[in-house]
Amino acid sequence: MKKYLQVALGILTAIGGFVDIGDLVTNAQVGARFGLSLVWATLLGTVGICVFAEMSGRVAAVSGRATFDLVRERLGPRFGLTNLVASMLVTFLTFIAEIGGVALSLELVASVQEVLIAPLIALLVWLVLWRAKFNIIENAFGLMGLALIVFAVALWQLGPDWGGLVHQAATLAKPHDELWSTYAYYAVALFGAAMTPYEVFFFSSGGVEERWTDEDIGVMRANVFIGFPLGALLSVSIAGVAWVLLGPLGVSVDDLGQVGLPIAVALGKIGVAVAIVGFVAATFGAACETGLSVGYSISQYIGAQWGKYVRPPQAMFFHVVVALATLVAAGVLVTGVDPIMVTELSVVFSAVALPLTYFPILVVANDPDYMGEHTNGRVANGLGVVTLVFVLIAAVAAIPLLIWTGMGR
Amino acid sequence: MSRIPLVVAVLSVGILLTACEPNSPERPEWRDDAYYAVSGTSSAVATATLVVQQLTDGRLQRNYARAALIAAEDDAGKQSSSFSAMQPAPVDTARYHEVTSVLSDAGDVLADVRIAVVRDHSASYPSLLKQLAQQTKALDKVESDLGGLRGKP
Repeated sequence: MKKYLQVALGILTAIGGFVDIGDLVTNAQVGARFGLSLVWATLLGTVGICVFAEMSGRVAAVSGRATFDLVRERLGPRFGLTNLVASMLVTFLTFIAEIGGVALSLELVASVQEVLIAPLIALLVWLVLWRAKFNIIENAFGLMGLALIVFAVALWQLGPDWGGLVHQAATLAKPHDELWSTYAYYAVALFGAAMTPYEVFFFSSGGVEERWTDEDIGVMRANVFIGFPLGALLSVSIAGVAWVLLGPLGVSVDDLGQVGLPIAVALGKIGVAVAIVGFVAATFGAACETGLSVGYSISQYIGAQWGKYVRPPQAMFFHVVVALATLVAAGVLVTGVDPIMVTELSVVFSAVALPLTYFPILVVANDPDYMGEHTNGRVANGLGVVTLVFVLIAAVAAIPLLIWTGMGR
Repeated sequence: MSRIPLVVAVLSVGILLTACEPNSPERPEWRDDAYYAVSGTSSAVATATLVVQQLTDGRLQRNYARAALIAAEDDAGKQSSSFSAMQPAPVDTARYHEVTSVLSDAGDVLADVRIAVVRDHSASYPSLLKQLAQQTKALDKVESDLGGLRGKP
């Protein structure tokens, strides 16, 4: 019975924790302009994150070490450093975006400008990362993030032309007034948002925090292969409601407030209140995950003690990195930088850094010295290589498309 | 005397003079920028309309509405100021005035809407919705005209 509860809890937190500020904003932007014609990019990103999260989780469970703890050892310090710098920059950018996302969410309740709330949010994030237990950080925000199911309910309540939506998704029918270059830009952004590097940093390091062994591989796979795709359905629902309500009005999404407006139309004040709980949980949870990921990756690279499973004085370097990252993120946000713009940049640069994040996982998961009988099989390798091909295409195309389309204008 | 200081001085003056020039894109790019400024403002007006409608129907919290309206007004302001800073070709002067005028009118109405909502002056919502509808119509017309010119030399 305990095992089933563990599986259920894992799946629920995986669903609720799947969506972050990048998914919220990008899916609403894409939904309002392209409807579900880009759902294939979310689908592709979800398959990719499932494949590589499973691999990195398996590495953590079998070796007892986080994937990136092994990258330097297996691929050498030079490659490890390149991997660290690229992935870290994107994770830090995402960390700023998530803290800004919490501030934007609370602005909708308190009506106080996000630039004034951001330092307090950063302080709160740091306190949680310093004091709260790992499983509380993982489960509490993941479960609260389930409030975003309100988008699926709203889509059903709005009563869209389901046949039209399915046709749009199946035929990749781009609206006639949009350009193919913009379509491609948003495909890369959606792919980057679904496969954000911090997700695997957090997943594999989290496995070590929770002391997974090879007996936990089954539960981990259930979380990944059931929880993540169901979480992706929330992303698709966000795009769906945006298309049904904001698309016909010509609203292009530039602010988090616009993302929740279809909920007001479909479900009224209570629905909006639930959506705000979902926004706060999704962004705060992701801020904690990205903040921890910054500390994990730097500490793992230099070989310092890391993690929440040891007392803070034993992992002082890790906690100092987390504190400094939080301080700098707060400093960036008080300059008045637009968190939505940071979010848009973070998902595109995430696409650029993807090969450096995911290729080493494939290498380590194929090393029998670390993995023994759990070394990648043909299916995992096949899916991994196919995903890497798309990852490479996205990485090469991201910056030229960003410049060519003027950030998807 | 070395020529280096002279070259540096000439280059510095050149850079300064260039920096004083307003951004003067080619005609097609200028039209594209005009189109995007109008469609961005149109999106802000549509957002404000939706917000006021939901407030009137009691389906949206006032703080949420206030935050969404401030963001919409801010966005429209950015569109207007970035477009008006660009130098049009002489042949586009009339269109420049038409676009800046419609952007400015929309910005004024968005400010009125924000003021009314912050003051909780719900009696004025019906007339503000009418004004927003007029702005939508005006913006749609200019957007449609500019859309027809996109891609032409």
